[in-house]
Amino acid sequence: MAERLIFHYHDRKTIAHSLDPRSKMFTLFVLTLSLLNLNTTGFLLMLPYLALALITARMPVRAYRKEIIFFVGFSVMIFLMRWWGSGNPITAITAAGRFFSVVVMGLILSDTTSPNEMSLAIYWILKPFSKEFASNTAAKLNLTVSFFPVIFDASKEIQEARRSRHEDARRQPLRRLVSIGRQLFDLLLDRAEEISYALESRCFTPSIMHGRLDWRFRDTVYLLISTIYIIFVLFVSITP
Amino acid sequence: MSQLEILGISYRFPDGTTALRDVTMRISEGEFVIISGKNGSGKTVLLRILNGLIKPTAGTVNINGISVVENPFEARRELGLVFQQSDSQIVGQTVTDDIAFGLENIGMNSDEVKIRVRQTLERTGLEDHASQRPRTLSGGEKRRLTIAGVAAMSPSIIALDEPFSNLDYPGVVQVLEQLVNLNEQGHTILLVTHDLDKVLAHATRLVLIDKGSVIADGNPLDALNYAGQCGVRSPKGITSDNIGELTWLKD
Repeated sequence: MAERLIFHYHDRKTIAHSLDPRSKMFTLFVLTLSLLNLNTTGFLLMLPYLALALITARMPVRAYRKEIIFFVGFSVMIFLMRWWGSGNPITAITAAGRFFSVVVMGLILSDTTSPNEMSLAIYWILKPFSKEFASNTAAKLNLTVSFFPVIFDASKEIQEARRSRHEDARRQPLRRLVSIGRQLFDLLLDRAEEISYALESRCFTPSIMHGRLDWRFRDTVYLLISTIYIIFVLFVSITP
Repeated sequence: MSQLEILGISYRFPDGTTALRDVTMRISEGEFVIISGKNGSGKTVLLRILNGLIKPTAGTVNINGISVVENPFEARRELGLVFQQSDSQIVGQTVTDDIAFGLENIGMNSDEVKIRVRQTLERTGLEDHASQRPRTLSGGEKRRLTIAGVAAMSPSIIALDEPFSNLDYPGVVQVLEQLVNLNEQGHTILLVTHDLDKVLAHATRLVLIDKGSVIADGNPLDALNYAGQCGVRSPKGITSDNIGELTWLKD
């Protein structure tokens, strides 16, 4: 079976995997907001943090290389547009780097946090407002995130099946794209129906949360270190 | 009183195609029923109606006195359905999580869930895979996990849709062993399959369906006479003396 690696949860024994999803999601949120406001110095200071996150998560960077090419292309486009607009290559590199860093952080989170853990964290965050809204949102998020790999896998399966029948990717690209899209849509509808039946037959109830969160001392340490570092980088970044 | 009563079930797809016509069956506790028929004969639709996933156009289904149409949630606790595609049914991050999924859904407390999961792992021989990711299991193990996930909820009836499809020889044997064990433990088994030679020896009853209608229903040996008519391959030279050979457990 064709299996995509990117934006899939991969179970490994790493520090990043063992952290509570709330601490990871909070850091991702703060980091993303900070990155959008960092200047070049701040961005450069943030790079070691990202590198450390990649190392501790033991991300299979080489395996991702081929699949991340789309985001690399997008970063190059941002670089060119920014360079063309500002005339400053450093600003352009920073803008492209910021975008790519956000993608990498999303990748680390999805690689190290299971959809169920994410939904538990969302439930925990929203619970004080409304328990029903929190459980519904968490269940929807869980189902949506769980369905991403199905979409990726199905699209890869379709492409490989077409390639095996000698389809020329350069011939009539628009027609090919429409045809792939239609095929993917049909396949996903079938799979979604099958999954929804399977969930229903096992008495799936959105209000019931599966598993529980476990906040430990290491999460407090991680959150403290990350917050202090991000504040430091922000401070350096805004200091003239 | 029958454990499962299927009374005059008919089903028509939204495009007007008839999937089932006036199907009536009464199944007693502890039976091992095989439902067979060619592709598109309505077997899968029948199982989905029994599980309350789709509503019949006409007729009623009662499981232990519970109406499936009126109370599908309660009915699902009495009749568990194992789907043909294991990957669609497995939702847990680990084997243990997946078995616990249904139990948590029916509101069982965490201590009870732990006990029931442990018992299910032992009974189904999946203890060694307890913390393994389902994606890394073999085809046969995945199928066993889907059966375990349903069996853990202790339904009195377990219905299975083509459980031997896409399985190699060891996989079929593992699944067959599990089904025979579940039947011996008192679960009624409702098995949809084309592969009569793999399992017929264990059946107490054979139901043959063609174009949505029941063509034969009864003793496996007698019902086999209608197999060809329903597009099902009938093993040759089967008599009451050698019908016990129709199993892959003896190989």
